[in-house]
This record gives sequence, C-alpha cells and structure tokens, in this order.
Amino acid sequence: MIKLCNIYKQFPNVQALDDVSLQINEKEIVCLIGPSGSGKSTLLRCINGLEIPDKGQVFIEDELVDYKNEKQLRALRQEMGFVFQQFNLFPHKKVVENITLALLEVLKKDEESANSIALKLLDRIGLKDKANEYPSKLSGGQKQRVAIARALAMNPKIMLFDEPTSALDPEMVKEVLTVMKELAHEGMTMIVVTHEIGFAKEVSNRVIFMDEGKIIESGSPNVIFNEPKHERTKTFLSKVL
Amino acid sequence: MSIFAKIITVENFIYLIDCAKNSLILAIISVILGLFIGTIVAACKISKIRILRYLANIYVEFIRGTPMLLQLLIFFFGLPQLIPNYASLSFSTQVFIAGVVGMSINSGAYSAELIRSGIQSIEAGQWEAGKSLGMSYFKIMRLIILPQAFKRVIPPMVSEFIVLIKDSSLVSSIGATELLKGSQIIGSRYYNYIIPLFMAACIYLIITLTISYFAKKLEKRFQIYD
Ligand SMILES: Nc1ncnc2c1ncn2[C@@H]1O[C@H](COP(=O)(O)OP(=O)(O)OP(=O)(O)O)[C@@H](O)[C@H]1O
Ligand SMILES: [Mg+2]
Repeated sequence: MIKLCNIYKQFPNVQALDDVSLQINEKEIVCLIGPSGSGKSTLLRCINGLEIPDKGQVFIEDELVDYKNEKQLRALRQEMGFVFQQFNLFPHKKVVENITLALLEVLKKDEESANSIALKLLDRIGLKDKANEYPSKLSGGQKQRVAIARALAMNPKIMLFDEPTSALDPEMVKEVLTVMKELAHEGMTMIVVTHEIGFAKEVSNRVIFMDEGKIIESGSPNVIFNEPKHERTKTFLSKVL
Repeated sequence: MSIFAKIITVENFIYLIDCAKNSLILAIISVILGLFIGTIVAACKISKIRILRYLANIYVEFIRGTPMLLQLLIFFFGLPQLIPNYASLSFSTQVFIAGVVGMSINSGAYSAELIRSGIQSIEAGQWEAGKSLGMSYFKIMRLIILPQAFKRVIPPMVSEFIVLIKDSSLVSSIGATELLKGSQIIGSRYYNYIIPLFMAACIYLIITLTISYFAKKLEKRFQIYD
C-alpha cells in the first residue's frame, strides 16, 4: 500500500534519511523505533509530504507521489491521518469544530452530517461531553484522543502516528494507547513512531529499528525485541527496555 | 466673568466634539483600510515570491522611515496631479481624501509588520495539522492561521488605532479642521490658546481611554479559548 524506494533527505547539518526503502502492506501495523535524531519523524513526514525527500520515490497505492503537485499531495493527505506528538489541535475551534473543519472545508460535507460524524467519533473515544469545550480545557490525553478523532473523521486508509504519547503525563498514556489498540483491532493500517515498547510488542506486526537515517533491522516484535541481530539494536534496546 | 468661564462653555465643547468627530472618522477609516492593506502586505512579506517580498519591504521601510507629515503632504500635493478633476472637489473633500489616503497607507505599513509577526508567531504545527487534513495554503491561512494571528494582534492594533487618533492631528497641517485645529480656532477667538488646548487634551484622553477600556473587554472575550 505504501512503498518507499531509496529515500534520501538531508538537513543542513545532518543526513536525516540515508537510502531508506520500505514497504507497508494493508492492515499492517508497523512500529518505528530508534534513538532521538535517527530520522523516524522525517520518514513519517516524507510519507505525507510534510517533508520532501531529496531523492528516491514514494508510492502510495501504486501511485508515485509527485511532491511538486500540490493537488495530488492534498488528495493523498486526505487519505492519510497524521497524529502529532504535540496534538496540534486548533485552539480557536471547539472540540467538535476541530473535527468538522476539514469535513466541511475539504470534503465539502454539509453541517449536519459533519456534526454527526464528529459526535459519533467523540462518543467512541469517550469525549462526547467535551464537544463544545475549547481544547485548552482538555487534558493532554484528551487532546490527543481528539486529534486522533480529527484524523479519523476523514476516513483515512492509513494512520501515521509520530510519538503520540511522548508529550503526555504517564497516567494519560494508557487512554491514548487504548484508542490506538482499538483502531488496530478494527484493521486500520498504521505506522507508529513510538517509545512504547509494550505497545509495539502487543499490537504491531512488524518493528523497524532506525539509526542515523538508516533502517538497521526490521522484523516481528518477537524477533526484534528478543533476538536482535545488530549491535546497535541491542544497545538501543538495553537502554529502553 | 473669569477667562475660564468665558472659554469653557457648553458651546465651545460642542464645537470641539464636532471637530473630534473628524479626528475619529479619519482614524477609524484609516485603521480599517490600514488593516486591509496590512494583511495583504503581510501576506506578500511572507510569500515565496521574491519580488512581492521585495516590494512589500520597500513600502514598509519607506513609510516607517519617513515622517507622517511628509507623507500627508506628498498625498496632498500629489493626488491632484494623479487624479483628474481632483482639483474640482471642494477643499475640505480634497483634504479629507488626502488625509485618509495618507493615514491609511501609513497605518498599512505598521499593521503589516504587526500582522506579519502575528502570523509568524503561530506554531508550525498549526500549518502541519491543516496540511495533514488535506487543506490548501489559503484555507489554512484563512481558517486556522489568521483567526489566531488576529487575536494576538488585537492589543498592538488597538495601540496603533490610538496612535492614529493622535496622529490625525497632523492632518490639520494640510487644512483639516479636526480636534487640534478646532482648539486653535477657539484660541484665536479669545486670544487664549492654553485653555482650549487643555480642553482638546481632555477630549483626546476621553477618547483614547475609552478605547483602551473597550479593547481590554474585547481581548477578554477573545480569551475564551486559552
Ligand atoms: N526541519 C529540520 N531542519 C534541520 N534539521 C532537522 C529538521 N528536522 C529534523 N532535523 C534533523 O534531522 C535528524 C532526524 O530528525 P528526526 O526528527 O527525523 O528524528 P527522530 O528520529 O524523529 O528523533 P526524535 O526521537 O527526537 O523525534 C535530526 O538530527 C534532526 O536534528
Ligand atoms: Mg521525532
């Protein structure tokens, strides 16, 4: 469903992605792990065009992504949900409006159906009673659940998560992971950058370990966590496990 | 009868308030047009098109680097040469148009800077969230960035409005009868300028303090979401 071929991305002082190739199949749940600065976010952001690779090709459902083609990018992004570490809710919009904004403006739905989609999703994440609050009134965990709902409202084929629980207080991590697990069980295709090893073990089909812009190794969670081949993977895991 | 009682009369106050109306009208029209110009210029300043950025910078630097009185004089003397039949308008209309144009263009430059910094103060994450939902640049700008930027820009825009009310006194030097000029007219009638000037000062203060007061309320209303 997603194919990356020999992706390179250079930032002024660092090679963030260094010849990365990767294929993600439908209904797969892939966890990306690796030390800080290893290029996990950059990889995820290249997939939905928040960063533009210097070299290499990205195919989404067999369609080559042309990063110069704004229209194509917008169409692709509508089919990909992106969840940020810092939530990035719209602070001037109420919770329900955060969810309906793109439904109304991008998918051109009418007010009524947009609202009903939003309320259904809020109900599902247990935040229906917060529909008319502003995001500032929510806890971190609640904000992130709303952000997930906002992405889901577009009915995406794949969800990209960039450290969705890293900005949360420990007691709120679980509520967000629960929502993500439910999504996984429903068969959503997901790529998750995370430090939550427990989540990766329990939910993912595949774990990819990155370091210095390269994919060092990838395999089932069992293999990666219990019998990693590479020294770098072992060193990293010994620090986080 | 003391000189105070002679000058501080209801009629003179009413006359001054009438003149103050002109100051206010000049300032209100200019701040609105200035906001409009400022938004467009701010968009140019942050645009990817170099020539737009270049032109916007020249405009802003020129306006901010030269006296407003000089700018008003340029429009006062320049507009008749630019616009056919301008000279056939009444003198007070000529002065009014030159004043509004001069003040708006002046205010546009200052507003542009305020709005630009307001726009750039919005976190990159807001752009990214909009993009990730498939929204276009203009939709993100209009629906996500500008509403938040304008809110942050309200306090400095109110200061800008107050500056405009005070600076509208400069339009008297090209012949407008606004509050300052009105006080001088009264002064010349009584051979006493100090008392009418203080009367004008009172009216300026009442206007500016009232605006500050309501601006604070407006800010509070916008604060519901933080
Ligand atoms: N916009 C940017 N400009 C310059 N350098 C950048 C930019 N974005 C990322 N980098 C650099 O690229 C490298 C990879 O960054 P990236 O954010 O992809 O790492 P990461 O694996 O997500 O790390 P973390 O776990 O800290 O989020 C880092 O060295 C980072 O400093
Ligand atoms: Mg990251």
